[in-house]
Amino acid sequence: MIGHLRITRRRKALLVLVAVMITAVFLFPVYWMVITSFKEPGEIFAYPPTFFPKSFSLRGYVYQLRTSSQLPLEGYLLNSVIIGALTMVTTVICSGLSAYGLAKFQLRIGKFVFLGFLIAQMLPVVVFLAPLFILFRQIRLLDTYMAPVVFAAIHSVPFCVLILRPYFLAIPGHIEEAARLDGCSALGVFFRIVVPIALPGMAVVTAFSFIIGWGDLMGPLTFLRNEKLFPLTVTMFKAVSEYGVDWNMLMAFGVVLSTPILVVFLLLQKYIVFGLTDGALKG
Amino acid sequence: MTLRRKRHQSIGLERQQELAGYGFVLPGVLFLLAFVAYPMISNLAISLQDLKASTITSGAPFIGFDNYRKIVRTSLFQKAFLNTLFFTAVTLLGQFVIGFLLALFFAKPFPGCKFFRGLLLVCWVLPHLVRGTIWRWMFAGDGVFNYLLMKIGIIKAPILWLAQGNMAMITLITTQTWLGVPFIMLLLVAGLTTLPREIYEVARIDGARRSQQFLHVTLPLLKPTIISVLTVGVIYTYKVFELVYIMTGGGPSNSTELLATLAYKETFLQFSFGRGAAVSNILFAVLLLAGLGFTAITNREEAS
Repeated sequence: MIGHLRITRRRKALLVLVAVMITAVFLFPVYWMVITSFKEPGEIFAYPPTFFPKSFSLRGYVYQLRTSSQLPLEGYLLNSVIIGALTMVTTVICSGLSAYGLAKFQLRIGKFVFLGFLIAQMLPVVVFLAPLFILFRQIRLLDTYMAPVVFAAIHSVPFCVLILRPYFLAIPGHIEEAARLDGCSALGVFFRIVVPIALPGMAVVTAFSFIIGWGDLMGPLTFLRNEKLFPLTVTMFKAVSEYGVDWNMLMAFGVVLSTPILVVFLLLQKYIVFGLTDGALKG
Repeated sequence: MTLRRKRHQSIGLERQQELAGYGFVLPGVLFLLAFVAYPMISNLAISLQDLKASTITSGAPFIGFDNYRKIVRTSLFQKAFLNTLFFTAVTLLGQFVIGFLLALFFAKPFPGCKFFRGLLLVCWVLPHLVRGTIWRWMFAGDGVFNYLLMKIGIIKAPILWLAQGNMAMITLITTQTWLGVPFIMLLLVAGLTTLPREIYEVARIDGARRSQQFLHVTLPLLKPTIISVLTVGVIYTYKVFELVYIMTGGGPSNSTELLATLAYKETFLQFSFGRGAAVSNILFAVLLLAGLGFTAITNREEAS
């Protein structure tokens, strides 16, 4: 008996060890980005490369400030936050209401709407860029925050509908029925009963839509000409083409762009994993 | 009397419910119509016109399918088309095999298995721009990959990964595989953990070996999951654009040109909007047809 236990314990330790190794291999690029961003310029190209910086330097982060001619770095950061936040609001409202409508009401057009979201998810980015550019020019949305926001929402809304639907489907109908009999309106039922129950799903969708808006490059690159509206992704992209191989600075850009995402991800990890697998498999 | 009134009331309620349902999907439907359906139709219209920088103000003449006819004959289009298929097939194969092996491992119950599984997904949520730039740096001539490969002894001199055609394609495929594996693994783990345990007990009692269990129990039971995973994988791999745009831009000398990058270049560098729209429509049409064909086949199989 004791021998048996010992074997399983050793086996478990071995499994954990292998898991750590696999994770290390997969996360190595992220680690490499972080340590490159903190290295001295001379150490970046050192041979053999150092897997832990000998001396920490903030040069990469300081140089980032110099790439911007029009705005201080905070300005770009603020633009990224605004685009992320507006994408989040648009997505949460649109996908929340739609997913609920599709999950809990027998609609004659329900099948088509769902198919519409599925097709929207399949569409390649390049299908949208030129037509949206023309449309945005007509409705005077070019060079406003809303242009990249709408573009990001094209990706996030269908995705979030697929994630949210299973959460709403799992809510037993009699709960909503009871609230309705108590005189609650349909919207009241949604906001007071459904959203609180599906809170983990709502959290995932909120996080994801912010991340999509925050990290998007093609939207702002295509629809914004006014440098005062540029988010961090565009500034980093311009730095890539202008400064080429200043990896120290580019990786520092990468760290600034990744940090909020990593924080949100680690906080919501459990829900994100569940939301993704459930939505993708049952969707 | 009371019965009829009651029925009347319930019909009224049903009506109300249906209206409420339409109210809920309305914002989403409007969004789809304005920003998905309209651009698609508009793209179709553009692709039938001779719309260039020179004709954009004077009004572009309608030229039928000329854009399609002309672009399809260019060797660049044919190359981009084959590259797209090759990239999708090899990447998907890599993602699926590695993802499946990892899923078999991470489906085992051990302390922290859920934590590690989730942690792998970190790479998947980073912006395209960040991932693409990190990998460009790692694959640079003086980057860490060349060092590691030379250290192990696989190569003798550093390879200029992104400056040589075949190597650039390998770089892109490796990067995209790395990106997709964690997601595919997670979906497969979700499928694996829902398989009923009793079946394995029975198989073991019947004397089935591990490999037999895998072939005759796991794979058939997992078929629905595998189909979803492959579908999602094809879509995400086939329509890839940002990563290629950031890492190689289709170069060197068009060796990593995909339909997506070709469409972008025609539109935003050559300013021949008509041809660009034609390429992006072909890109989408192939995916849509493949999807429809695939659903038809799986539906028929399910029916029989």
